[in-house]
Amino acid sequence: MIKVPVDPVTFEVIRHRLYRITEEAIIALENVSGSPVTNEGHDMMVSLYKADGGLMVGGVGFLHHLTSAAQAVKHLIATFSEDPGIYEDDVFFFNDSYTAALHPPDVYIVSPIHYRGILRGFVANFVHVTDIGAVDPGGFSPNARDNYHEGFQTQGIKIVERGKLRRDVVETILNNVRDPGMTRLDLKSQLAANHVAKERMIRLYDEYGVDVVEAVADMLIEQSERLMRQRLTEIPDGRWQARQYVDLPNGEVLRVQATAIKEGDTLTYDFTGTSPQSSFGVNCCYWATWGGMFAPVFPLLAWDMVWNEGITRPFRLIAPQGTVVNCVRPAPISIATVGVIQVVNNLSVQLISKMLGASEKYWDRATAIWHGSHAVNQPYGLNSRGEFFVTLLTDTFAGAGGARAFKDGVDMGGEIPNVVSRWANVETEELHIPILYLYRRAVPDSGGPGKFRGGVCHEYAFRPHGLGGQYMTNVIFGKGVRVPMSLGIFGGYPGCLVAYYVWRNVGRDEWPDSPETTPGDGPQPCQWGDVNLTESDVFYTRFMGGGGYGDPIDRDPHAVLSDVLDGLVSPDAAYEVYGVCIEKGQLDPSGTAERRSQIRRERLGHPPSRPLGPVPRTPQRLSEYLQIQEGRVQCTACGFELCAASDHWKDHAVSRRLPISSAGPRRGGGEGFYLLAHYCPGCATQLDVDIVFGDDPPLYDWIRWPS
Amino acid sequence: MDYVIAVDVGGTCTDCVVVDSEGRVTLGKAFSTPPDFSEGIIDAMAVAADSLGLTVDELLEMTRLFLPHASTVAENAVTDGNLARVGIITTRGFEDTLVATRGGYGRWSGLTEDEKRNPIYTDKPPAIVPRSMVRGVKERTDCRGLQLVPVDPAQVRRAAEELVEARAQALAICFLWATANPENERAAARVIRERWPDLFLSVSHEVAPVIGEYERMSTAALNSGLGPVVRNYLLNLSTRLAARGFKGTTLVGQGYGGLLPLESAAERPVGLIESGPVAGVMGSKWLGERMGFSNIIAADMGGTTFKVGVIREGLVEYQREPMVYRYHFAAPKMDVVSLGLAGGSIIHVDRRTGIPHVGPRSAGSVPGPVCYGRGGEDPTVTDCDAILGYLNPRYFLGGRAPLDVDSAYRAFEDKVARPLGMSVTEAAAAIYRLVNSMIYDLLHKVTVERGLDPRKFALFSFGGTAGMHVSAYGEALGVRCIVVPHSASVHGAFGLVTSDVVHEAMASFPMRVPADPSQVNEIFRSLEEKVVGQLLKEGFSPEEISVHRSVDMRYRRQVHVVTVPVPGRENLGATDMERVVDEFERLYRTKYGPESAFREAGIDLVAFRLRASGTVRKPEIAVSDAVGEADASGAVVEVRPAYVDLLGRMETVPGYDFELLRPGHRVQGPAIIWTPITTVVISPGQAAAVDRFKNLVIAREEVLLA
Repeated sequence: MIKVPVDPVTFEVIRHRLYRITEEAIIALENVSGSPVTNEGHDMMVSLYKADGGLMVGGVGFLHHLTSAAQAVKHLIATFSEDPGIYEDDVFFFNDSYTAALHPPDVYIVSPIHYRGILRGFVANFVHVTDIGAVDPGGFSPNARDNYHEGFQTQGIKIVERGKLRRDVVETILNNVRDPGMTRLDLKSQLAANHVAKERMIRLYDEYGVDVVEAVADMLIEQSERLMRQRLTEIPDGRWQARQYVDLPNGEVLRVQATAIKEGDTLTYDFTGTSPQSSFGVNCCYWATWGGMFAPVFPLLAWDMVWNEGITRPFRLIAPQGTVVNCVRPAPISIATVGVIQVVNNLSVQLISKMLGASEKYWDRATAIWHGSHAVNQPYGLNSRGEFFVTLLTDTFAGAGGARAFKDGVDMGGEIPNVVSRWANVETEELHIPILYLYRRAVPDSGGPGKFRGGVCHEYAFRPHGLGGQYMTNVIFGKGVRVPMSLGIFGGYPGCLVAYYVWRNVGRDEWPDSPETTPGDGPQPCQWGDVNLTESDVFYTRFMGGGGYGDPIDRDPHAVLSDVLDGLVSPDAAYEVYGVCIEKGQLDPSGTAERRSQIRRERLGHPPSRPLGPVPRTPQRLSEYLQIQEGRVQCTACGFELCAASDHWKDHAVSRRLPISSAGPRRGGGEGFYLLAHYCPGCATQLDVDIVFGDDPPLYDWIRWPS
Repeated sequence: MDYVIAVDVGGTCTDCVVVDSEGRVTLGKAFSTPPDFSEGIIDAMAVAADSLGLTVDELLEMTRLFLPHASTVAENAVTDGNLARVGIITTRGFEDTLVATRGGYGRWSGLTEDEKRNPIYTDKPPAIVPRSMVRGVKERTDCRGLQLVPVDPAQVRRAAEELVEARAQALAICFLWATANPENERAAARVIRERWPDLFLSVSHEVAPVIGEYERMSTAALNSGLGPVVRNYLLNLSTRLAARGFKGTTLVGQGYGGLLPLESAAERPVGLIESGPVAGVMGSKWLGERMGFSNIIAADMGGTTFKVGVIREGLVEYQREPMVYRYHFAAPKMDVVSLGLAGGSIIHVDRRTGIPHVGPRSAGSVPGPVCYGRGGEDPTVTDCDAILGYLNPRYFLGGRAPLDVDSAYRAFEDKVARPLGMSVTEAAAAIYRLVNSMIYDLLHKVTVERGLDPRKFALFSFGGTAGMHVSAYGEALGVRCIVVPHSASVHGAFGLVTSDVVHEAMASFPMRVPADPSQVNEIFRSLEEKVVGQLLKEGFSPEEISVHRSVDMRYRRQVHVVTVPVPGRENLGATDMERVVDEFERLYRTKYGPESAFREAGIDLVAFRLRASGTVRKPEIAVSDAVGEADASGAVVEVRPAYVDLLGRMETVPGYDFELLRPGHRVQGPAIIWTPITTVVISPGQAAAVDRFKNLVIAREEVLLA
């Protein structure tokens, strides 16, 4: 496969140059695109692909696109190589999710790279374009009944043919969208990015020769594959389960169920048990699930490797057809990126973290879920000059870090599938669209309690200000309002729920600075569809804090005190959930000890039989608090042995169903959802917490340490 | 006789340049003495005074202008966490603006690409101001400057009292849209200044008149955190100087490339950040003007970082999204890009892949490279250079420090060559090329990726490590020529001597094109009144004052802002405004590409800037009129084996002593030139000429002859 020998230094020089090329293309994209979603939210991606469509070098941005765009390229090669042909300086427009993409507004622009007349590779990028002509303006279409309501979609059409812009094609696309000016600029920015990447690749071929560059690309792919396989072998074999629920606006609940099967140097994600596809647009197509699975793999398992096709080779995906992870047309899919793709991201984070938690070498890299649910506002209307506007408020890119094995989650700290996300300033948002923010602040108790606390999220409220009509329309498509999705890990609790509220008739001279102090008619909870807002209405959104890591009563009381003093944890939650007593800003050590033993008593129904004490760590970890000791599952907090290594330890733990609100405030409201907490029968340490709907069983892990 | 003294305090050394009234330059150098840098400053001046046959006190008595910068003091206070305890008063509901850091932005910005890809090990830096030291007050203005809720002075007083009670040593005010209408901020500031006249206070629309509350608040907070620290430093310094007879004026270097009187500088310490490196770029600009270059890439490669600034058509661009340590701030600062790649960068081979990497870990100056013999064990770029035969113990650090090439050789063999499966020389040569290609990538980024053609630029090279690499990456980049300035060792201080007193004022005021010229004139008039008034107060006569106006503009609904110069000082009419719009479109296309314009959406004016300079008398650098012959063979002090990159092997090359070279001399590559501060490698096919200023000018032979 590798044709010419390359010395390690040339290899490193070219690797560095390939990275620079993707970065440079991103700069070109940002330069031309004026869109706040692209520039402020970093909702974009540029990557290089080999002549067969394999991912050569992935840039940063939304990472689920790295592999999905690879699939788009492969589709173009397979379908169009003969007719109409792929020629030098052609450029394709592609956004069909049933073939490769994620949802209609995320448009792939794909350019073949020819060198001396021969096809050598591709560059592809995506941005979320301003509009794609769906039933709802802006790209997310909660009002769509099926895929045919979701706007212009193509499996590939040339917008540039042999270097010449196809006016007929571009005008046809723009004729289908509501905001042709901004959408045209989005396309221009994408063309500019590919142009830069293509030019730089050609210069690289000039400088080092095609053979050398291609040899390096192949070596990089082989290197990444080798490193990924090696990493997988450093983790014990086993099967890990994870599950999330999607709370649909009609009261239905979807299950997304995943099992990670790690055998030797391979990893399979099996989604058997997942709900059938939905009539709501949260569904995702096969390649979207594939991308959703990989987005966390890159930063969590491959942080020190080159992100390319080699990373993907040891992976397999089983996604049963007709389910929400592999839907069949005409199921609507426009909400996918903030719907089931995000759920797949979350599950992938959780499965990887459970695996890493069982690794002696990588246990420090386990993390609870970050930013479990987006909560997008997609407002449109007329401004005071009568001009049409539509946008996404970038607040949804703020995120909240999941707690880690060694540290709290980062407050308002972003998300895993896009490692460079951020929000725009209030002043930037207000400059672009006719709204006024009333507040934008951290939410106390929003971070999942744990030995390490999940990062807090934020909440904000706005009201229309300077409208060109009676009202503007805020289009929403929320999830996670009834069930938490920023799940904790190894006994950590989940972060809070998402909330959308509207207050009517607030009065424009009222300046509420929290939901509690908002007058008017409300709060009316909402989740889905159009919400019309006049200038006397207030619209509120809250996100999800990150999940917690480890047992909350295992948290250093001083860290709880400092959270209380910082206003990130309420004194009530400190007492109830963390078992920490604070009197007049001071820690009460004896009260804390008493409260914590009370919690342990309540967990078991009787006082713990074993004291906490240092237990020697064996090399056979299972999780934060469990390990194999001479063929038996042992609690590392007290030394209690739960069962034989071949048994399900959860069947031998003390388990309790608790209301989700036991994990703290802002977690109530979801009928039928429970926390299923599992305690060590010896010391009552909270070993794991599942979230279950109805009678769903707990999640099991099978970790096969050699005996 | 009177003197101007400029002082550049660096992390390791303090440089001093003394210029007499006839333009003669005397240099002084001493070690820096943190935390009290004034010690090192006096030491450096003593060295210069000694050369002039004076004592420090005699020199200071005859000194008219004293020009320090406080870059290092300010930056150290930030990186070491020694900022004053600050309290913030902001719009109620937005108290978390600073800790939120625009979401993940504060977590990943300022990190390398590799670090960004590893989010589990990323965190936000500790907040400049913790949540507990922020108070909200009810007030609101909208984006058009309409005051929706006036601020209540009683609430402000209560908030400030609480903060002072909580031991705030300085305060900052930042309200939403204070740039569109500063009324509420002004009212709040009045309350605080009346009640606590001595408390350091930063008001966001004054210190950072930019749209974007996070960056503005961060700037105000940093400014207040630095305020007491920098004020103490500057006051202490001027007290010490006064005690030794100094009666002149002190002007402090700024990050935007001008000077400010000590009092103003102490009010706006955030302006001092990176003023040291910026002074170096300004020095290059000034020298370039004398040499006939208006397009310059100024690159400084020392022990820990590679820094580069770009001068285009005599102008330096402002930095986008400037940061100090990992904190954002929005004060205008000249663009200087840094890369953690320099002499001290450690070379290691990834055991899993067998691939070599350079940096980002650095051996710094302690323990330093292996060849320094100060306990360094990890091979560095400098060790690699030593192995390749470039460093000469007689000239290394002025001949004052030993050079242990053997240890470097052994460490390199163990940790780099063997894992790579190469001979030591092969491996060193390969790393040499890798380093050069990484620098090439950075320079490519700051030129080509910004639409600049390096072929139109001269590359000015500063710093101890630079000379050994510059001919290679300069050649690859295709620059017109490479200049190693005679003043290279003190170019930062040199930049200060060549600067003017500059005040900048800015007003954010979004309006649409076509804008009403009378409104624009009114804004410029009030800005001019403010800054020109300041210069007049400082004793400049109207003839010494020049004014530069500009407008920040953008296409509506887009985010990129371009600063468009507005020539002249007169009132603008409708046609003048049209010309400004045309110029905006031209600049936008140049910067962002011809495809980027989106006229249909309309054009906005966002902010107005005015920069007023008071001219400071410049030194006249003494030049040699006697340009002699080309034959430099008399300066050859040694012939030794060294690696010649283009030939790919060790060759015997002549080594020259820079001190023996005279204007007119020409050195053919391959060759090595040892100067007291750096080693310059000349490639085959290149030649170095010594010009009238005693700068080394390196280019392809045929270019140099033409």
